[in-house]
Amino acid sequence: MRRHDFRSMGTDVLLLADDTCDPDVFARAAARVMQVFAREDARSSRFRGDSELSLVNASAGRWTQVSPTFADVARLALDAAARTEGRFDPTILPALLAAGYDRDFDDVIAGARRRLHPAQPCGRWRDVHLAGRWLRLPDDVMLDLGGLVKGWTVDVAALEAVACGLPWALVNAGGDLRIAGEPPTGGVAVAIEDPSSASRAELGRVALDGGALATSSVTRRSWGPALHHLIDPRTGRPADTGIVQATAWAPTCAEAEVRSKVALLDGECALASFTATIVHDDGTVVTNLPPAGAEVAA
Amino acid sequence: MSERPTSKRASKRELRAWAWIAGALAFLAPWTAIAANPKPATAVDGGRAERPVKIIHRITRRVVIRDPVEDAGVRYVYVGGGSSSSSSSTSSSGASGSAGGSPSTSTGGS
Repeated sequence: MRRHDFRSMGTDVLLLADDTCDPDVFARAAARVMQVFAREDARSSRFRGDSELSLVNASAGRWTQVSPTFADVARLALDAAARTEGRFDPTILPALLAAGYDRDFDDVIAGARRRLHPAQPCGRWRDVHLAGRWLRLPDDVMLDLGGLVKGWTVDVAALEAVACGLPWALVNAGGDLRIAGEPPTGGVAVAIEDPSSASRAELGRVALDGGALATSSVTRRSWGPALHHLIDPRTGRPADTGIVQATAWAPTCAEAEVRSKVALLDGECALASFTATIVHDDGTVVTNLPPAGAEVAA
Repeated sequence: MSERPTSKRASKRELRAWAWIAGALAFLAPWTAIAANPKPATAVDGGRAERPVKIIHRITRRVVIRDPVEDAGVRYVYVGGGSSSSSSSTSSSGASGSAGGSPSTSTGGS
């Protein structure tokens, strides 16, 4: 396999392609993928004061014209919130800040939060208005497109890498991954990490030959007991549902990201709706991923 | 008029005796600590001596496999390491796509 690693959006990003591909084509694809990530990070990072997201949040209470791409991602987020009845919620940022994730994660873990704030209510996505390229947030609401925009960027980057001439490409940004093009026979092996392992040991393995995978875990980006980045919109606090990790498959990485969050909150009920692997806090793994070699009815 | 009490000054001989006692105690202290601890079993025992048994609890994960709900572009590859309960068997694909070999990448949340 040909690999190119770099860091963006506060996580490790990997471009993977067949080792028989033209090195020049791979180099061009790698440069393109890096460019896509740099562009979308500059647009949607909440840690950059000059990002479009920060400007939109600073303009809460009045209509703001946004870029077509920002409008697309915001629409995707609001649609996901409506479809999941708020389990995926792009307005959890005040709750996330109250829980202590108020700066870049490297800085959060550098020092324990001295003072936490009361849980903040979520579910304000219903009050966000988007008309074409005009967006209006209520006064006290801030958007956080974090995981969704990362998944969306993975989708764009994987498709762009294939457009550069690669037969297939897999882009993985911190566990949110998408394969595009014609993958090798049997798929690409992807390990699902064990949430209880500090060394990220392998819990299971899947062969991915299409679509995307995303994982939500309460043991990653955690800065104290019961303090992590996955907010339960129903309580406004870090999720405590007995599920420690959920890995979901979807045709796109943006959708896989939404599904993984829903699975983490809903648990095994989610397996009636989509393909996922769930890890309970007692170590039990429940999956409805079709086993290798099995035929699946559409 | 009362006389000021005079303290008896230790002689050189007494001081030397106390110094020897202190030195001897300091020398013996670590040996006493070692002797007070239980000895490990040695080859002299021929391995017959009863050794303390340390029980290591082996954690076996339970894997429950449910029926698929959609035609997904992903297959679960069983790699062992736990018990599983399912109506259908699982196996490594063993295909050239390397799913049966080392994983090419991983997912585990960020």
